[in-house]
Amino acid sequence: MDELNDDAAEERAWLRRIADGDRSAFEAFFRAYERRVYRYLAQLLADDGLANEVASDVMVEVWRCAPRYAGRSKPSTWVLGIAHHKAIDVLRRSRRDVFELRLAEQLKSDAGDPELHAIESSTRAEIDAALAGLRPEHRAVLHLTFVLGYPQADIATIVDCPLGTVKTRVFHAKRALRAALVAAGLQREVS
Amino acid sequence: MNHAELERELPWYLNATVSPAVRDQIERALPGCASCATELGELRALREALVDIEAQAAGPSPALQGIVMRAIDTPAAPTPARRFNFAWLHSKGFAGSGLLAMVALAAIFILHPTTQRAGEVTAPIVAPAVQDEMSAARTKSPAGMAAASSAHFGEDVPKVPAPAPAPASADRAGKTQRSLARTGEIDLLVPDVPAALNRIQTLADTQFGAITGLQDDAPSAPGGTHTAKVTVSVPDDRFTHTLEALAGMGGVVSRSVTTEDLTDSIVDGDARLRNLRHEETDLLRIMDRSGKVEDILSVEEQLASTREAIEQLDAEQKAMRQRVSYATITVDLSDEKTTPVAVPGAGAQLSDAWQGALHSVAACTLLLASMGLYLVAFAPYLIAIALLGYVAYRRIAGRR
Repeated sequence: MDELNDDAAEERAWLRRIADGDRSAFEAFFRAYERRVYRYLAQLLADDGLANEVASDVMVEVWRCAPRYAGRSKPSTWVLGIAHHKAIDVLRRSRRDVFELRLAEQLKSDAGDPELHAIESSTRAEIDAALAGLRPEHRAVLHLTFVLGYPQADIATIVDCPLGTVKTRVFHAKRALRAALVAAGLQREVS
Repeated sequence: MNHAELERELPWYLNATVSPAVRDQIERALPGCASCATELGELRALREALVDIEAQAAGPSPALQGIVMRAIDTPAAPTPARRFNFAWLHSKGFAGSGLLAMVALAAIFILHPTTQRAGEVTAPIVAPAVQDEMSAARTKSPAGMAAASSAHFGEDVPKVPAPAPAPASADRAGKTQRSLARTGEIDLLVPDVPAALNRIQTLADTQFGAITGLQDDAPSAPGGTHTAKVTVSVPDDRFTHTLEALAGMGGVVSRSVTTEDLTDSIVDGDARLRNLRHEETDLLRIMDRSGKVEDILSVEEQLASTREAIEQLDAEQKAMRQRVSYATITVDLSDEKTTPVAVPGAGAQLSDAWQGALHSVAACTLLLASMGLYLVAFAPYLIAIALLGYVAYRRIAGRR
């Protein structure tokens, strides 16, 4: 929730100044969003190097598109929306999502009804590893909901889908995560 | 809201972004619903885990800011061309798309103004300023037409009344997105030079301009000629109408319009200025960090040099923008009583004819070159049509 307590009015003022070509406003905006954008991209892309490249593209896009920011959404929603679209483009180009989709489908079909307490009984490292196996859109909604604390409507704007889809994605993301943790636990017991 | 729906709201109940009504419903349901309580506990654990992971995760590369700052200073590069994949030519929808493209192309040919007015295909070759004059004259009167067409051949023209100011957009029509600096020169024979000077002053005022130069040479001896040279600066969108009004003040001996395109110079200058300002900022940062006196002195020297370059370039940019915003017209006035208009002799007429022939040859060459460019521009459509024909032929041949 900390990220949501930012001063949207100040950020809007930054964007107005950026639209006028004010570099100092852009630097302030950059500092405020650098980590948030990067971490979101790192979650979505599961590749730190690629996340840095796309974060750079996102920030350049902010500089160039600031005049088109109409103020209909919060600046943070607008920026993360740009980041989301850029990341999805990168994933589509690299066909990375195809592999992850297959893995997620496999987990879904193999797992049946995953154990309810899988998350509570897993370590941070196990959860981190299991997250990497999820579909990018599932990682995105988990990050936006639980780490950044966004409301449903903002998440729907960022990932550009209906509210119902956001709820469904979070539901399936939890199931897939539990399934992955159960599978990892079974593998650990076998070995 | 049923149980399943409530359960799906739990992630946002946890991050406190659900509406008060939903929150109340969940809080009423929780004490009596073991599965909801278990789910909430699991979600809480998930959130704690994700927040912990996030807190320990590495941040972006320290070089990111530098990369972004350099990128925003660089003009956007054109998108690299992708390798063309011909497989789509065999798709089912291609034949229909090709047909649509052909219909669209035919519509463009039929409806495009240049194809409707084939006789005016050479119009873009003429400088925008001259186009303005020609079009203004064509739409006003035969006298105006004569004034415009003879302006470049030094012929005397009948007087035309000063036109009423037109909307600025009409003057700008030929100059979209370009930074053009226009200058005009006009030689006039007037019955009374001092009266003409007064009228020019009034004209400059009414056109929101100013007289920026004046040289008045009154005759020093009886029988001499009174001459004057006036430089008038007017907003660019008032240029054509000011020139027309000046032409109406007396007999036009000669008139010329020059247009200089400053777009590239202004864009380049802006980029150089931006880079110099970044350099200045960088030098100031270095100076803040430098500890040794000799280092500070060296940076100060560089800083002074950079600032001098900034000031010089800034002044040049302002001057160029001023030239684009304000057009300049130089008016040469002569008293017509003592200086008769020279009637062109046979030699001058032959010279004019030769100049006219050369002009026609140049126009014809440009017309042919323009037609070539049209062919190049429409090449993608022509290639698409050829490919469509080829695929159709292959399909028909295949059926046989």
